[in-house]
Amino acid sequence: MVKYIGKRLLLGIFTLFILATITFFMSKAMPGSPFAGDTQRMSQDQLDALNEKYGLDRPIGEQYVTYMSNAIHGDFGESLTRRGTPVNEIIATSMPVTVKLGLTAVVIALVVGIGLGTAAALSKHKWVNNVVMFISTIGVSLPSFLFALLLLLFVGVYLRLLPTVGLDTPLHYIMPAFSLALYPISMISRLTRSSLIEVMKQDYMVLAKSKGSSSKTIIFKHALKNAMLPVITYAGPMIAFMMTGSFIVESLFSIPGIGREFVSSISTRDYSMIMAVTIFLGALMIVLNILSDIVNAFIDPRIKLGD
Amino acid sequence: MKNILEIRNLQTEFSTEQGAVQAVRGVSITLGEKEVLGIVGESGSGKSQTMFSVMGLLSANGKITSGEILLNGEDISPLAFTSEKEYEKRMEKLRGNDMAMIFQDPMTFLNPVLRIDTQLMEPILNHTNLSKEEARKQAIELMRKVGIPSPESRMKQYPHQFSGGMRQRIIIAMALACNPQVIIADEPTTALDVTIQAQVLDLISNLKHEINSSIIMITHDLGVVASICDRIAIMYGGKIVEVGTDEDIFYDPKHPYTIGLLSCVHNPEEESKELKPIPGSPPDLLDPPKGCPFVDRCEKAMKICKEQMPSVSVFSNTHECSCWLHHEMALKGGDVK
Repeated sequence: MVKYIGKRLLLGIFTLFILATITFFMSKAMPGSPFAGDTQRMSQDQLDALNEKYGLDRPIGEQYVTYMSNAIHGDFGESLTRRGTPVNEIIATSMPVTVKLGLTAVVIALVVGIGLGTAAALSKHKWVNNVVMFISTIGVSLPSFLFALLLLLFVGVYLRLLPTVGLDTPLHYIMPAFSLALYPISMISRLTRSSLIEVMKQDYMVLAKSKGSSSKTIIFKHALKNAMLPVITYAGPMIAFMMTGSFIVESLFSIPGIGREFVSSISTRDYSMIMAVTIFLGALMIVLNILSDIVNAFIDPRIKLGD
Repeated sequence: MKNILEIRNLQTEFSTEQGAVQAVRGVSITLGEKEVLGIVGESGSGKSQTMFSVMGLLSANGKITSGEILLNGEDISPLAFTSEKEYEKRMEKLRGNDMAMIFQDPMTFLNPVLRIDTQLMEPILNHTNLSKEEARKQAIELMRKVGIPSPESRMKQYPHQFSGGMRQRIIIAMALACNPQVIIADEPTTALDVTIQAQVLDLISNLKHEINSSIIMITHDLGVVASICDRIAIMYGGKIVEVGTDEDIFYDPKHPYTIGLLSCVHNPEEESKELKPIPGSPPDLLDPPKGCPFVDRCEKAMKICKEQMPSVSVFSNTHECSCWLHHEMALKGGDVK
């Protein structure tokens, strides 16, 4: 197990190196400059001075080597648009916001998704199944920006039930978290439903019943754990995805998260921000994927880590 | 002998897209104290579904349509209860405690994500007031009883870490857990290798002397029943066609189907005898024949066999058979009209 995790981490570092290299050259290949917005206010001499200060006048190979050796030592440089602020600091302030929102959305997605899926699979009333399938079809096909806009418009503006901007109180979390969770809710409820229906037909459910276990025990002890296996496989990358922030949801609800920082750094050619956020989110993805494999092996004893 | 279980005129149907499949069509049988009853028949003869009806383990589309199932005189057929909830409540108390079942395929009947101790302790915790620790001790004892080596450490393992034979032993241990009055074994050796089959059969016949349960052994293998059973019922087309002691069935078979089955079994005493298969296939239970279900495959079929179900002919107080050939009219030499 330890050996397996070590191997995966080493592989992850290699992946990060490749990711950083590709991102470095691709961002430099984009036309434009981080100082383009300032050209009106600055003289050519000042621009040259800035380029020299941040090493942008050097040959690209040299820039790459300098950047990588600094990065290995944990120095990701300063933001080129908010000059003087280290990018580490920007990430440190925006990341917790995204994580808090992402975790809320993950919890909502798992609780609501598994709940709806279980209800759809087990309810004796056909309409329950139909309603859940209807919701999940809508959820899969409706883009999150549209859903977020509709929420903002109806719940936030017309009904004035919930605040629309920022993340100051728990109430602020409801709309953005649901916007993020809508798609995963739909996927998880579908997965739970189909896998639970399949599990209920298995022979071991008959044996469980033959031992005199109540239907509650049969469902919660014998069925759900088995039915959760495909859901967990899906949830691992889903959680990683939610933790890395959504530009759309963060922009619509004016949330200062990392997703918004990331996209704006690309449009302003803030090279050091692009690099740092890419490496950071890449590392997060890798760690979360390893974690989800470990959880998978924990739930399904037939999976052996390392094979 | 006191009857532990008595099934009276049980009928069970399965609703399918093609219509109602009448899997069990009026089965009546009794099971005495400490008796081992074998139910023999080919696939689709209704032998397993009869017993699934008794245990209340029919799949969702299955339904008992008439009949009584008396366990110690109490009717436990769902028809005897006012609601499904009442029925399930009663059955939860009985299943695993008074009646237990051993299943066919040990590879699919154990829950793959739960440890053996969890699964084995479940019936004990369901039906007794024992603490978890006491239940664990009892479970270890059970594993020893069914011949699983080093039970303490194996308890903590998962089903995939056991071989098929060992898994079947675990399923048997679960059935024994609460000393049930009735153990129903549904083809317990069918899914196993031949050598393992013999071991599991040995285990069951040894246990038979140790425990106080009555056993119902469902099988399609006459060899299996010969070694273990006191009494044998032959099922065909959802009906019991012949019942008798093992001697009645093996040395004095009456029904042409029983005779046919026996000539499919290799008898080591008659070396040169060729095995004779029964030609044809069993009847379609979507639209069961109104006469004898075996008529299309019977060499001795008469006109009446197609039209009317034969009544029961009694040969002794243990031996009965439903066949027109043994009707008094046929015995007189005249054709039964």
